[in-house]
Amino acid sequence: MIGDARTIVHGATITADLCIIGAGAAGITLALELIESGMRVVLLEAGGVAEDPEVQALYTGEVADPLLHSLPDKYRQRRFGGSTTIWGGRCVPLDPIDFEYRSWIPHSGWPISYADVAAHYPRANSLCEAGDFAYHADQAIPGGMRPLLRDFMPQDFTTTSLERFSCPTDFGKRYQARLASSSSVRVLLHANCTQLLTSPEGSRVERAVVQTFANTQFTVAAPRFVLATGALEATRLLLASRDVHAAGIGNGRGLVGRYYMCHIAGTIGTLRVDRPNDHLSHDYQRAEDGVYCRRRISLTADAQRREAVGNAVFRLHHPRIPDPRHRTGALSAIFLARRFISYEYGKRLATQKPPGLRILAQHLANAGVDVLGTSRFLSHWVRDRLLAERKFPTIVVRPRTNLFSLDFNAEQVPNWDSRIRLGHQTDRFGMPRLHIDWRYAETDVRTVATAFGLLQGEIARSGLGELSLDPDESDIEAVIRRDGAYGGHHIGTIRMGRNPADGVVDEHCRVFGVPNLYVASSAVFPTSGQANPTLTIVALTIRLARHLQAEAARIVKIHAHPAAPVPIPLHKRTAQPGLIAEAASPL
Amino acid sequence: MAMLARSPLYEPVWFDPFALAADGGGVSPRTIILNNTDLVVNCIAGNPRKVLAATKALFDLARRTPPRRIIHLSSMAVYGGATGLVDEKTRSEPPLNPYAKARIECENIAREYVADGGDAAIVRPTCVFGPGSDAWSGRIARLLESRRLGDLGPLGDGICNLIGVDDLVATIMAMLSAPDISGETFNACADWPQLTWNEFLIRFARAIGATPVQRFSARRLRVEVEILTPILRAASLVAGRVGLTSSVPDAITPSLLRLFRQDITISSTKAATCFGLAYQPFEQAMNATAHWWRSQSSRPAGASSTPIAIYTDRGGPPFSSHEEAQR
Repeated sequence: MIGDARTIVHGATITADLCIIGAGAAGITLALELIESGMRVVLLEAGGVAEDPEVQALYTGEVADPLLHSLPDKYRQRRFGGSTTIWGGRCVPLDPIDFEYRSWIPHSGWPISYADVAAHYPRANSLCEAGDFAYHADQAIPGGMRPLLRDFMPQDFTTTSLERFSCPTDFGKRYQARLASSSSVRVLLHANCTQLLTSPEGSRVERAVVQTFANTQFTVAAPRFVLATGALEATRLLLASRDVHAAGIGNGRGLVGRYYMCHIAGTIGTLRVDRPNDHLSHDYQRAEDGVYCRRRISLTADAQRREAVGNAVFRLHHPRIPDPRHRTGALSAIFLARRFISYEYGKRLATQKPPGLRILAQHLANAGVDVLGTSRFLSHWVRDRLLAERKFPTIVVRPRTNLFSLDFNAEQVPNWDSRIRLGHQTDRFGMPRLHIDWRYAETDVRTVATAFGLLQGEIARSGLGELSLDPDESDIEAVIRRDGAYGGHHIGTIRMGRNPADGVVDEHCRVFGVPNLYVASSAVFPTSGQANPTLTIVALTIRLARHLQAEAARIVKIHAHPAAPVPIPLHKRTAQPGLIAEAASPL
Repeated sequence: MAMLARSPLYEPVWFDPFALAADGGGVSPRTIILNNTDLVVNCIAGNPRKVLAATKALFDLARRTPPRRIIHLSSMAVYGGATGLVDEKTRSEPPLNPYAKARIECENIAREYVADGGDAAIVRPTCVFGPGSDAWSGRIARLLESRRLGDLGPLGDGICNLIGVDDLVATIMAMLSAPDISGETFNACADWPQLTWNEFLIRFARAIGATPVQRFSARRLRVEVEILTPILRAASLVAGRVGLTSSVPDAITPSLLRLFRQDITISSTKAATCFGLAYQPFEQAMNATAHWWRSQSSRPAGASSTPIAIYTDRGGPPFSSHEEAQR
């Protein structure tokens, strides 16, 4: 059922078997996965079903360098469905190497393996509506996909790995009916969780404090809590919950908010292909299930080890849109319409200084001369993007000149100095706002530079064309700074570790020292890999759901056979006296 | 019905119960045939009003010359808008469309017949899937191929309850020979892995090559149901009068769309337990149906839906065990 927190009686306490905070990709997934579990679940969502500027304003905060990182109210949404209401839908799994300890990357290595997550990727793919879990070009489409560049067989890269695209699925809209019809899940909209209250010794979260715009306040009491608000807000909530833990929950060692990662992403270089058009395919293909799939150029694990760099991928991209020398009408039309493009996508069209009349005239001329190409693109965009329910994912325009740029998406390594902390300002509920100080490291620059250099060599050796840096790109670090942090990927601030010195949560995403508090978010990723995080967030959440179910079943079993002593940790028997009875009671 | 007729145990007599209704219960060649039958399987389908009239005529006649048993095929439609796990004891819930109401009435007629001393049992098939099944195989295949069905998003999240043609026949065969089932009702639903309609439609589309599967918005489906369907129904009426029924595309009815999002899971534990049924694997049924569909030389819209009842003659072993009947 779906209700409104503003109707809850002021001062009341709502009880549940599980309280999930945040109804985005993770929170909704968790609720769906537990819908048949018998658990009574309360899912708190701060926003309503539509965007509300007043609610969204609760996300505002500060950034140390606005040129490097977007303001915290950008790229994320405080509403039912969370940031899936605006995401692009790119689904990519992490690679096995991303989970490994890599001596050249400090703080690398997950306490779980690729296989632990991979077991849940197919289900995650399904919830994201990205079709089969088939991320190899030979498997995604019967007969295989068209080659990216015919006869290009690089040693240090593969061109068989794919990205698949969700509709993109707005989890709120998509799963609203299912949650609304459930009697075990209670969604409360307009419920702003502002604090987690712990037991006096701080070893358990006992209540979540909820405030509303109707100036009411209530609490949710539950034996287990899951923070599923997204990395920034989860970090904020932990740091702001200081009633017992002076530095915030889980932050005894000062790790919460540290190691903040996005991805190092942008557009770089010019690839000239000296082959006929039909030798090259950088467009999307649709799998049988209708999902758009696209090849990427991925740096192999062996090359990463040999070169001691992070993970990285390239995508063949149209020339840089703001530069009218591409002479492509469709791209110029996009540039001219940039004011109508949402912030998240329009950002890539920004120029350091406003385009002069000459540049604008050149774009106009491109659109006019290439009127057929422009019209074709516009009709395709209206039909396959604007009107389609499964949307054509991104702009793909075949340049007239056989010149391409490269989109890159590279791993950012964990960096102690890159951090999120509480700022000095507070929001209307008295919650401190965030201060974001995103920083990259020398390894990040080296990853991009090395990967680009290797690809340059591969292209040269193949004799298929030439890959070069543009004159203003000779300094790779400047290129990275130009594009800044990849806005929507917030990773690592509540990292998973083997012990409290290494991380904030354990392999089950449970906060060390507070065993009834879990985190479902990309905040728990110890390293970022090259992949967009949503698919892995959903997969990890499904894994968490299985864990919670198993834990609940174990507790019920203990209750059902009280005479048979079961070796469980002492705190389960002493510190949670109400838990067994509550979990075993009829739901 | 063709499969049922192939059984070595029974000699089938094909009958049109609508004509029986038209006879008004008088003596005619049809009633003479009925008088010589042992077992009756009432597979009648179609227009609700006619179904009700024909069923009534059938059971009225059976009162005068009772066969050993009547197996009355009903439908999962009798559960209406019920949700969750549904077994034979679950009550109907609104909304009930005219077809569902007629089905419930027909079941009542069958039960009255039992109360009056006759021997009859009811089976409620779910969506009958398999070679030769037009409603849930041919029609769906046509709609998938014409890109009018596919991935329905939230509107296709309902549970797809299917029964393979072979499995339904096996259920009926078991019911023909099982002892002491008069007055009983059985759901007929395969124990296949639970699929949503979206999952089923995508799998079926892939199996018959109707790819890439189209994703539909609620708006598009609303246009289909509210605008196109009335036009197609009108066209179908006109075409029927001039004998061109097969040239009119299938309509996507509001009740079909409602079913696609209905969270209903039909339990057929009772039938499986009583008759020891072993259902064919889902993949086998899917492959056979896809093969059948691909092998169709022509794929007429609205293929035969002629309501026919089978009256079996010179029956198999009288009320033998299921194992015997299987032999």
